[in-house]
Amino acid sequence: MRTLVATAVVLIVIAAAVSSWSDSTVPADPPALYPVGPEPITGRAVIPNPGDETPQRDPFSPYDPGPPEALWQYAQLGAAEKTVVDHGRDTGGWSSVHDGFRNAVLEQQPAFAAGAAASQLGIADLATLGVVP
Amino acid sequence: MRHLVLLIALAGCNDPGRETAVHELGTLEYELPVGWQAQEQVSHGRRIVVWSPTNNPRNETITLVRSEPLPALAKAGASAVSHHLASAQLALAGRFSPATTFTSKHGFAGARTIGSFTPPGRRGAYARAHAVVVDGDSLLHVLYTSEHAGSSIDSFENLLDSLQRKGA
Repeated sequence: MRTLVATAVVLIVIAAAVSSWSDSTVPADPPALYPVGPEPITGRAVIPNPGDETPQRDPFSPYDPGPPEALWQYAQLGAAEKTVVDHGRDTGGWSSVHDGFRNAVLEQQPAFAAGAAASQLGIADLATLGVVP
Repeated sequence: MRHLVLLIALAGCNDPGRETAVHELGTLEYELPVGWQAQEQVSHGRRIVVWSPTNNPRNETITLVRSEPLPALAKAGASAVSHHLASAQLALAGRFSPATTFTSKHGFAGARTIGSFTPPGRRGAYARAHAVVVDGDSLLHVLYTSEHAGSSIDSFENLLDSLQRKGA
């Protein structure tokens, strides 16, 4: 009797396991088909059609300030405005600034060259390497 | 002239009878006096071994740095290494002799220079000898550094002389 009950339990477990497996023979539903058209976008297309391209502006060309009557003449400026313009047009002190940058570069050049040479040699920190305090 | 005097002073301090021990660095082996201690570190991805005597009143060190593979420079040879070695010393606040090429006792080509410099944050000058040895496609730097300019660098010279491939 006990053997019969045990056999029945095993058969039930096997039946439950087999019924839980997926059945790969059932065909999947085919994907739904939708009409294919251009995707709606806002603004202009990134890649324009041939002939619709916007010409690239020369970045070094000055912007058109407009007709002559739209321009401000120097004589029309106030005293404070003239001071600002005069300060911008005065290049008298520029050479000292340029010399300052030039001297700074020349001063740092040996250090840069030394760093580059050390890097070429595969070493760094020569000033502190092996230095016992 | 100052460097020449220093070289003569340093050469006169050689002690050929000093007991040495053999150490290894990758495929190379070299000798240092018995009693020196090593501290290993990794900086900029490079293995660095700093040796110093146990009793170190002169604050001496011998530093070995194995470069990353530099096949172009290694192939260019000792003269190219010498050029870069001389330029690299410009970063130090000091004076160095012109870099010269050499071939070690066991056939390693390289370049070396000697001089003194003041490390950042220090007042006195440190003696420095720097040799670069071409080993395959990479370089081995050997630097001797000491707080006293008149100190001996016989250990540095002996290390270069003893440098050889393992099992050679």
